[in-house]
Amino acid sequence: MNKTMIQVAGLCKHFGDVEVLRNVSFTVSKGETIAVIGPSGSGKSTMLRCLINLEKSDNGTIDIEGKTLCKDGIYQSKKACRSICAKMGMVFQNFNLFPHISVINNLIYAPHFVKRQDKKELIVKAHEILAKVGLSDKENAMPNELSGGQKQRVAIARALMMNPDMLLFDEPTSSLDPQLTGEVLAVMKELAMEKMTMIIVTHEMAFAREVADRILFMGENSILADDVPEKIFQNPNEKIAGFINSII
Amino acid sequence: MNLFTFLDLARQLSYGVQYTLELFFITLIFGLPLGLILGLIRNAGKNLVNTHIKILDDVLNTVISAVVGFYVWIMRGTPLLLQMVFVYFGLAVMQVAALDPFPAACVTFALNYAAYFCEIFRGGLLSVEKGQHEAASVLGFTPFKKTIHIIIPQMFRVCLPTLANECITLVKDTSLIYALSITEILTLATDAVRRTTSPAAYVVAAVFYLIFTFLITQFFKYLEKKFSF
Ligand SMILES: Nc1ncnc2c1ncn2[C@@H]1O[C@H](COP(=O)(O)OP(=O)(O)OP(=O)(O)O)[C@@H](O)[C@H]1O
Ligand SMILES: [Mg+2]
Repeated sequence: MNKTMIQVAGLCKHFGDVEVLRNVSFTVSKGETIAVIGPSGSGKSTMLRCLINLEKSDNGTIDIEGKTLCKDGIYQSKKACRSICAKMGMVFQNFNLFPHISVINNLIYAPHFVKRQDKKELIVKAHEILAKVGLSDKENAMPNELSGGQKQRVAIARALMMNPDMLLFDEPTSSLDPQLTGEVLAVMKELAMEKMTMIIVTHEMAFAREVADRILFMGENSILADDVPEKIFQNPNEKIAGFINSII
Repeated sequence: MNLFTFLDLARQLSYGVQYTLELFFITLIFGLPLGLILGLIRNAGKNLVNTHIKILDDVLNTVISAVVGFYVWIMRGTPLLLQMVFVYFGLAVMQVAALDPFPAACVTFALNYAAYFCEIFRGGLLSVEKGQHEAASVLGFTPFKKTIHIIIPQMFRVCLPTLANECITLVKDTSLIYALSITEILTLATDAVRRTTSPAAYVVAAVFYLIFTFLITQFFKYLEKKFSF
């Protein structure tokens, strides 16, 4: 068994009176690609955002690479949380590129200003990563000059610049046309083959089935199934079957 | 009014331009940074102070935010002219401070305009999407670095048209220092009108203001283009 990267136990989250996560527990090992599927409003985004400290859980324990982000709902200091979460990168549905700076600056800003890395070396590295996502010709473009698929590939490149040990994706292709979806999924597939640890919230069932090592099915505010894709898709229980049929 | 009288009047009024310009730039140099700080404070709301002691945080944040809100309310809720005569005459009568007319005007203008800039910047800060904050925080930016490198540049672009408007108002507001008998353009124009028994000097004064506001408009157009994205 590989090293445990993420361990979540008993995660609970309310927004006011609304319960969004009830007793969510799972583990992610190094190199795994996890797809998270489930109906809208089941708490997929909230669960992902809790992992990277964009939402605070009310209760439960989150360990990232053996370090405790929160225990029984009590968080470490802000600084400690930042350093623990620095191991993770996140890619959003609506890209969230920095619109006021060029593509290359989107890539080098964080390592330069946060980690104080040398700009020249970062530019070399940015070129390599842009080539990897197929956007070598766009380094000087502004984000609003790019197509959605290109934007999302820049967002992935930006996350990779921080040398993350894990990447979290929240519906990375949900705001893209079908043609553009393919180019983003191709990049993610390559990362999966390189054994990047990834958690991907997605509605792309074919992709989940093909690429994921495990699938988490979320519904009714908790994880209803956690299994390999074959099991999930071949012998789906009633709820999963209902969900899969509803989106195909 | 022939060209000669026009030029002669323009020459006379030009002695007052110095005060107008100085007041304009002093107000911006002090008012903009102060306004930005106040805007950031108002925008931070409940997240400004963070001592890990929840009650202390809540009290401090509420107090600071109320103080800034009160300041903005006073500054925007009373006439600039009233504030200026208060700082000049009022403080002298109370024997708090005896300021010369021009410094008194500068202090009042900077403090007054800071309140307006505060609200302009606060609006700009609110317009930056939540996703920008999240993307920056996920990339490890501290709140301070995020504000400097990601949020303020985007806010600035959004604020430019409103700032241009405010600067034009400022140019015209500088004529209020007439009330403190400072020899700025309007004072000199009124003197000339009395002397020459002709309103021509007022026309010339208007031309000065028009040129000044035109230059500001052009400058902001340039900025908007430069910072467009
Ligand atoms: N900031 C918030 N404040 C209040 N309620 C929220 C907030 N964010 C999410 N919720 C609620 O929490 C529940 C779960 O939301 P979440 O976004 O995690 O679902 P999801 O599974 O990602 O759905 P989708 O597939 O539509 O993205 C929903 O009922 C939603 O309305
Ligand atoms: Mg979601």
